[in-house]
Amino acid sequence: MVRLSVVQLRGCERCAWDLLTLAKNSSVEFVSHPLIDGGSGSDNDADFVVITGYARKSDEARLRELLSRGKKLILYGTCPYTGGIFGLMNQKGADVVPVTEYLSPVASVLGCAPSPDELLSVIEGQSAQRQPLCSECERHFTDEEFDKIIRVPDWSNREKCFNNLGLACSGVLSARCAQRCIDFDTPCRGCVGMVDDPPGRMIGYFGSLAVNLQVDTVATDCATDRLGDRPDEITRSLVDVVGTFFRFHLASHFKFPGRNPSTGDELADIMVARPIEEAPQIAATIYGRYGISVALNLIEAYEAAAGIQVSDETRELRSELRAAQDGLLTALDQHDIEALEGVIDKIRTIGGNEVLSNVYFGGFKRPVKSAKNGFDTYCVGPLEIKAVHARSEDGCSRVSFSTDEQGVIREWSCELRSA
Amino acid sequence: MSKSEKKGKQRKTRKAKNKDEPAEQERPRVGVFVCHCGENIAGVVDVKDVAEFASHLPNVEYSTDYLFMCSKQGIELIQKAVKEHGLNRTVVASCSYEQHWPTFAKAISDLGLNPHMHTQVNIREWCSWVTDDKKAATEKAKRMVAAGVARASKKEPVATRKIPITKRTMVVGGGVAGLRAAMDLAELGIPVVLVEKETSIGGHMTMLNKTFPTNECPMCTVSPLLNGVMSHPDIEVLTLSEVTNVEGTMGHFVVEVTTKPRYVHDNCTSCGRCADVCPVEVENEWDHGFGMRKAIYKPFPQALPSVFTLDTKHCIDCGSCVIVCPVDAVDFSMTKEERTFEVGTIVVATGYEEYDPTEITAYHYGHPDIITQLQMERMLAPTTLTKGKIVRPSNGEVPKTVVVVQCVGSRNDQVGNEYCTGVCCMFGIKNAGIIKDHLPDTEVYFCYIDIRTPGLYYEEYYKRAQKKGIRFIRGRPSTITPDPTGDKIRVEVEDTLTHMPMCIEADLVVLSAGMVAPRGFGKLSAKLELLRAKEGFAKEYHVKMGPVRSSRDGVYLAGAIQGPKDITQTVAHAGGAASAAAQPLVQGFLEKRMDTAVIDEELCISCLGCVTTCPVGAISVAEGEKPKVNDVACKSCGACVPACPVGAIQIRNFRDSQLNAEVSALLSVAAELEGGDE
Amino acid sequence: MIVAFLCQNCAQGAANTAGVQRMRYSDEIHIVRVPCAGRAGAREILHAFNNGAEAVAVIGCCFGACHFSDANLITLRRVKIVKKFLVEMGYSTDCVTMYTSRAAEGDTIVGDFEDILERKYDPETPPCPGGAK
Repeated sequence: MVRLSVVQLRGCERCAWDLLTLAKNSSVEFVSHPLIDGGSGSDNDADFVVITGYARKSDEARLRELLSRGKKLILYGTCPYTGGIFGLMNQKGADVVPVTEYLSPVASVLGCAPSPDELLSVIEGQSAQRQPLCSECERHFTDEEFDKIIRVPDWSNREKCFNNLGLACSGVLSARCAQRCIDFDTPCRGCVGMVDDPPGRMIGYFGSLAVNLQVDTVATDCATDRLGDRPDEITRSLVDVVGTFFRFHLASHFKFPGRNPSTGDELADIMVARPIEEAPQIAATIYGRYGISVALNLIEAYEAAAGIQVSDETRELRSELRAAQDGLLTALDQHDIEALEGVIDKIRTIGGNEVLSNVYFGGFKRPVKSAKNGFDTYCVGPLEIKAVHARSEDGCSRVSFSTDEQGVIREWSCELRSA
Repeated sequence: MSKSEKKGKQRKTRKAKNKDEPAEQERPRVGVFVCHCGENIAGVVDVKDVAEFASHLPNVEYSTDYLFMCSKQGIELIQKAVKEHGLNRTVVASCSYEQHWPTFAKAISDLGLNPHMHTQVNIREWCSWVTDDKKAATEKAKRMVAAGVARASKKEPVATRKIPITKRTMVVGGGVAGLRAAMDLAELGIPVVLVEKETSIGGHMTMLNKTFPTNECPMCTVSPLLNGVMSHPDIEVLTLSEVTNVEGTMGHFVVEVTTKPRYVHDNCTSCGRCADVCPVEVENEWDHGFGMRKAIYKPFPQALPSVFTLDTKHCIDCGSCVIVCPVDAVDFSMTKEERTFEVGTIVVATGYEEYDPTEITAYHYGHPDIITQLQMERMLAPTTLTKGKIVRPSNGEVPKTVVVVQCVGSRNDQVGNEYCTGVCCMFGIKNAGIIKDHLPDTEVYFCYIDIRTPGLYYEEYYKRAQKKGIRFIRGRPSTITPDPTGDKIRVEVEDTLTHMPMCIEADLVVLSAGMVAPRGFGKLSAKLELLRAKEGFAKEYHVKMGPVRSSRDGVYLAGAIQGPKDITQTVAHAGGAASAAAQPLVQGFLEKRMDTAVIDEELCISCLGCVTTCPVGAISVAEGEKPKVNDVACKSCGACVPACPVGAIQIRNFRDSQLNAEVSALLSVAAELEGGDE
Repeated sequence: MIVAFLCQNCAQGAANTAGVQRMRYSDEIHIVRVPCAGRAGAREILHAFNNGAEAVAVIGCCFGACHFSDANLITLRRVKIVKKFLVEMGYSTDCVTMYTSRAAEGDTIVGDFEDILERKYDPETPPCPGGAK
């Protein structure tokens, strides 16, 4: 019997509720879990303290105190390890930090979100052999450079590696993971980095393949050339370097806070500056227990504003997801672990994974098992990127946002309605 | 970054470390040696302070300073310290890597250490020579030494491999430099391919009438060499040929040569009947306007190869030459030929071009009575239209007044040539003297800025010319203008010794035009990937210690392509180039440093990023296998390293860990030193 | 402190020439030797910033004259992405730039050094990550 104490720092709590599913495992006992005891439990008897969520500089005292208790610490999820996706707040001046700045764990289980089983194998001392994600990808590498950077893949080409097609995918430096976005035609953003510097290496790799792209140069006074500062093919087509290459690593791999103004809302700070095609998954991730509702509202708002038609089957599947959303909130409120497991399964079945990689504008990227009709009745179409003002709401959230010409979110507000 | 190192340990990555990363070597024991370089470094940098600072750096076991580290005593000092303190790495803070890394690397390799355990820190060119502020320079030197020590601590031994090479040389250019180099190489038993773009070999030297300081006939001087090259069994001469492509590296270049058709086969006996019957007569380029030739021709009687050439631009296809040729050598069906040669080294001897004075509009070059020295040489030659007589080209009269103008296109910022050609004073004096010898009654003026006659017998030659009655005027003419009313040429010049403005009414003006890099060398240098100085000449490896090496390994420079030279210097330079080009070929192999790219197959995910990126195509991949680096082709540039998303490919001694250690040390020391100031 | 990654051909050659010609440039410039500008990727640049560099220059051979074929053109793209990153973070595009130089001409590299200094101290632009303006 392993006694675990779970400490939830800041963030979406997904890792914490995922861990709850271990409770039915006879070898695990939670001496403290924030979703059961609201964090009031004592970790005195705990064999391991599992830390989830991200930290800010102001959490230093709490973390140091955790360390001082001499417990074996395990980081669970990418957030404590690198600041995770919440590190993107740093672009607007926040001070998200990896908790490794203040304490050293005995092990880390990476992923956004990881699988609770991985935690068990770590506890059992099995250091899981991490295999490269690419070894499981159905796409394959070529030795070709791309001629332009693309933002939405051609859904019919599942042959070539995204990177060779001009769509950055961090799968090349990531390990196999629990969410497997790549199975849903969604490029990997590297939540389980296998290397020491994922953003730097990824820029080096992707930049090397971008050699055919036109780049601005200017002459210096000495009649030599230098790299120019004007917009060029690279800057125009890579609309979000931060969100693409630093999605999970901004706080850990760039130690300076960004100088962009904050919106005053932490989560809005993450959403602003993200391109529309990446936004649903980010929203599904960061809005935690309301993620499904916010992501669907975002998608439906954009669809309405951009005139994208959706089929009845798509609507049907989405309403099933919304039902799962309600189920999730109820299960969490009532600490109903069995119901929680059922809901997570349901979300995975329709949304592809917990961060809804299969859910997209205009339909679904890959066939959904529970769909009543054929895939052609709800498959995703081309995505037109344009400037919109959009809003949508359902029983759980109200989303309104606007995008610029490049389809980048410039304003974002989201109101959550607690049940 | 200590943080990332920590991470490596904590995370369950498949492998914390690149496999090829040198296995934990013995603990680094670094010795730091700070050189004074006389006053060059010590005059600005407080070398004792730097050595003292270095002694506190991590892994440093010993540090000292010395007057000249590269001297025998300095090297002994390093070797003694290595032995006494058990050092396994050395850092010498002195001059550039290029200059003395090999010196110190050899010093430690003589003691059995791997030469790559030496790290050179350049506190001269990059510190003491670019800073006046002594305090700032000392601080900078400390930072540089700290970075160097961090780098040294991480360095790994690198093996050297022997690679067999192709024993053949290509000499590009068939002037006196190319001929000398080709002959010297062939005499060493090295097969030579000599590529000349003109119809015959010999170059500028064969155009000259006399050479200083002996007034010998250049044709007589050079003809044994010309004949020797033509008949040498190890030299293949390709005329009308140009290098069109160069691939490969030192030891194994693959050079493509394109040969234009001559339309006359080699069985030509040079009887000349074809030229006799040819109805077309045009100006002979070789004579610079002082001779004529036919459309089928030899540029000059002694031209080698002794084969006529058909000039299709002017030929009217009358076919007379075909009919009269007794050996049926004329053949209109000949076409362009492309051949590929594998050679180990290349000697570039493309020579110079005479500066075209048209650019200096005030001198009105183009007027028939304003000629250059090379034209003067042809006028004086007995084979041209003037039959060696000195006349005014405009009317054939004997000139009464001749003005020789020096420094035309040399020492002239306005035309972009700041340099002194160095040869014009001598050939100017020579031709002025010859004019005076031929026409004792003619007034010869010699306008110069300075007379430069360094070398044995040169000053004496100048003195003899003075005695002939040549009027030397120190001053550069401001204008040289044909008189619109008469047939004289007005040369306006201020005699700066007497401050007297003068106007000379001349019959003939001879411009001593300088030497410039040949047009078209840009194309060749691009193919050879050679660096050029801003004046256009090929840049030598080192101005003092490597004047015959080019910027590229395996390519050598002979003669005036490296900079203006007279014949004596050219021949000596070409001999040097030949011996440098022969050295690896005689040795039979190249020593290739294996500080090349290495792939850790366990980390590699076969994304092919390195294969796509490698600029020299040294990385290949077989179906179902991991990419492989071709050690011989790899040029150690490291462009593949950032292209690898997982850090599997690394350059030995420029690994991520090594480069990052250097930058981290530099910046942390910078912060420390700055902090200490406050 | 400005970290300048200099390629071993044109850039280090130009820095040597600048020294031989006794040209003057700020002692804030610290040269890090790399075999080719292509060796200096985003990782190296970000590492320098994270360790306190105020600006980073990557200096290679002239475009079209790289001693390793087109390696410097690959670098150009990588550096441009880093530039965009810094701009997205609200920092100056001036903090990192790729330059070229000619080995035989010291003034080409001194010009590059002066340019990066000038940009670093330009009060009109936002600051660089580690640099106070």
